[in-house]
Amino acid sequence: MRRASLYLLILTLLVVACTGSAGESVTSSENVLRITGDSIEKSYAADDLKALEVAQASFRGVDYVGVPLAVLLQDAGFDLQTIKAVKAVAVDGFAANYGPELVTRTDTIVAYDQANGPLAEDEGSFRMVLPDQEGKLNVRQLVEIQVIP
Amino acid sequence: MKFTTRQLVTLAIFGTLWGVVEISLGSLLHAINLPMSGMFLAAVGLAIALLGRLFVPRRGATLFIGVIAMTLKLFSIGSVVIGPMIGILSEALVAELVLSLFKRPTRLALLLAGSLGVLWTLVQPFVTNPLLFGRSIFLVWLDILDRGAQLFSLDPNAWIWIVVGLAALHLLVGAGAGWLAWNTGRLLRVRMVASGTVPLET
Repeated sequence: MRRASLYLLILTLLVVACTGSAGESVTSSENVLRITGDSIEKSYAADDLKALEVAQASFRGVDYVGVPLAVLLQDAGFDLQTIKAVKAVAVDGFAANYGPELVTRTDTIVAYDQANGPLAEDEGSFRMVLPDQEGKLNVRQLVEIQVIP
Repeated sequence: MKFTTRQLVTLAIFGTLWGVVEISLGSLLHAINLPMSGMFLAAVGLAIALLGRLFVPRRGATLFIGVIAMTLKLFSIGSVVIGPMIGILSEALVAELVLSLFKRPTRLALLLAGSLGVLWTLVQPFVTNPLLFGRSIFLVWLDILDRGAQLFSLDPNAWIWIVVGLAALHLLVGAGAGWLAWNTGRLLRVRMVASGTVPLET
């Protein structure tokens, strides 16, 4: 009984230890958003995003300003018809995947500001905003968008 | 699947225990966003259910415990419960199916039931996400690869290693749950016999 508990404890510690090292491989700068996939690689600073179409979307009662994801991907050179999925990656390596139906929604935006000021500190320079979707899909501290064709 | 009143009460106690763990620990793990929280919850829940099976070593007992736990999960506040409810029921069903292959609960039976029950949490999103949340199987696959890649610090393209690693981890944790249930059951039997109370029905 004690031995079994000990093994379980060791297993748990192993899993937690593995988790603790996650995200170390992420080297992207937080102030630049990379768009990658299908031999395309582009980087956008906040000013580059502000030069694109502006859209607003709300999540959990907060209004955000940004660029529609579909517009951003088209600007980067992707054909929306051929996209199978899009992965949003945070600075710590956390990732969320979106299907084409979410990517092409006009209220799915990459936010660079809140409606009444800059993004909060814990949101980073960019964040995903998908109204009415669960929290884990609304990635904060966004550093990369990977397109899976 | 006919139980005596005493057996029904025993199963209700274990089902309630599992349900309470799901409501309390489940909400906590969800709140702190612990990776693999489903795996941990399934392991704890199945350890309780398998222990219950030792007290009532009859066909259907594990499923019965799962049904009670699932019903209690309805009372979880502030979270989507349909996924976890299906999870509880299907884990109990997998464990029940494995146990039904054995004449009586043995250490091996409990290890196998725990392993496969916990492994089911890895497979379940492929079934429930498309049906309940409209996420495609391809997206579920990507989600699992991302989770595994982050957990093991691997490149998401190393999908074989990620899948093998995740499956091994789930099987191992599930086996731990079965082992814990078996040893706890044995310890309880020794103590119950020593104290003169009713021993386990094994």
